[in-house]
Amino acid sequence: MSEPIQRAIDRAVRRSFPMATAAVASLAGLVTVPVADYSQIAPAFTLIAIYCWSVWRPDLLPLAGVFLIGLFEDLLRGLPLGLTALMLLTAAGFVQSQRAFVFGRPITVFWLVFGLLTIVWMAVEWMAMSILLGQILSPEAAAFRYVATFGLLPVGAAVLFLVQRSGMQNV
Amino acid sequence: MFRKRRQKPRGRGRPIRQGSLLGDLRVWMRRFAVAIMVLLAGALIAVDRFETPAIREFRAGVSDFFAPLVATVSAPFHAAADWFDAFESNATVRERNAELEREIERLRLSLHDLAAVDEENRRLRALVNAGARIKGRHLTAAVFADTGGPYVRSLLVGAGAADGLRRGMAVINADGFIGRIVEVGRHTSRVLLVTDLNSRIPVRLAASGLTALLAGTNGRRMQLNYVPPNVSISVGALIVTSGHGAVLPPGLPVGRVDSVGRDAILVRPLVNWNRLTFVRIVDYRTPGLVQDSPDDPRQQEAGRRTDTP
Repeated sequence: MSEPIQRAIDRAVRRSFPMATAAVASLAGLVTVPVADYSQIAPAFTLIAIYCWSVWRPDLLPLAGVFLIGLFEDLLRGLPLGLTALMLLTAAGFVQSQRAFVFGRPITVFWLVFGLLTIVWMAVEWMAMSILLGQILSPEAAAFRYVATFGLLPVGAAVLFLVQRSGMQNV
Repeated sequence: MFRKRRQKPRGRGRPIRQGSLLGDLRVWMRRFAVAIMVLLAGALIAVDRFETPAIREFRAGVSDFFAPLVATVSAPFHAAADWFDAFESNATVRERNAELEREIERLRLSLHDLAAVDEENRRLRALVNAGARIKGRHLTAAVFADTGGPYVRSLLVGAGAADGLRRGMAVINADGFIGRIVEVGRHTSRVLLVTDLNSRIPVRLAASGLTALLAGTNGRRMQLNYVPPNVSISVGALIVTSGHGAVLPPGLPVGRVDSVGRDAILVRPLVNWNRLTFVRIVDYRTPGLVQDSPDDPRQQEAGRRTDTP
């Protein structure tokens, strides 16, 4: 294989990291962790990945890809088809349009904006599921899930930052 | 901390020259694509409400394809849990051993009683011409993924239509009733847990025989509905499946009454959800009463291969 082709493949693989890590984050949410009530409070890993890449590399996170990841998650989790897709699409679109406010700012700003986004996310998800299931659901699990997701952002962002620094230089 | 080295913000896609016709067109195309995706998502949410067989099959196909990957990702977590379990102190192990020996002794004694009761039951059933009790076929499957969340309680298990599974089959483990199969793929199936908001199970109180409907609440406890008024129900009473509708086998232990209030009777499931690695699926059918779902030919084909003793 000639060098330019190898280089092109290498570049394409590196450019696919944001989408690939978002897909892996989506799978990570399905992992069976032997901890009491884990599935009810499992952090929204996909939201963390989508938020980070929307701020850092929106050019490598096409909204169509975000939509497909949302559909994939709905299919696997048994959630109403299209719900996560719509919510991820809205979240990514919003963050990408407002990224100038977050990009290059201190981690506290990055984290706080994510906190606000997650509050809206959890509230919308809770309302949508209450409407779709036809009754007002207990917001308790959503609140715990919010805390878990918000608390995990620095860890998730650190992992994705390492991915970016080690594998996505100059792509 | 997470500040990028290159401080110049990157936009989406190639740079668009403001004011140019091509640039405007691309902006409109992008907005149009987003609008299409939003509309598509809305349409999918609406269509999904009808639970069409095509969507069910598509979901099952996706689960089939990705289940091994999820199981591989889950493996280190289970290994870690086993590793922590191995660190139990000597005293704890000795205590558990003594407890298990007591349990074995108690079960041995019960076994003698059970044989007598079984014999008596057989004679009484013959007396009233009730026929033999249908026991059903059992199949063990691994839990691949906990696909639930705050709003859906479900599991993905590693057995499907190829193993003879059909929608509606009961899923149990050593503790008791777990849920029902609601989606069947070729090699995986989705189990709707008994605690899910959409779960409705016909049950009876083991002691009194009083029938009721057990509804999931998405919480840790379930609610006992359609209980006649002025009936005394005590906390701790065992709830078992009633077998009404001939879909679930009768007598599967489901839970124990946890609280009896004026508005609601709450039941705590017997199953320990935290360490659910294997489940058993009960193939129970009363011939002539339950028909196979007509929407999936693969299930019908597999159903024909399944023999119910």
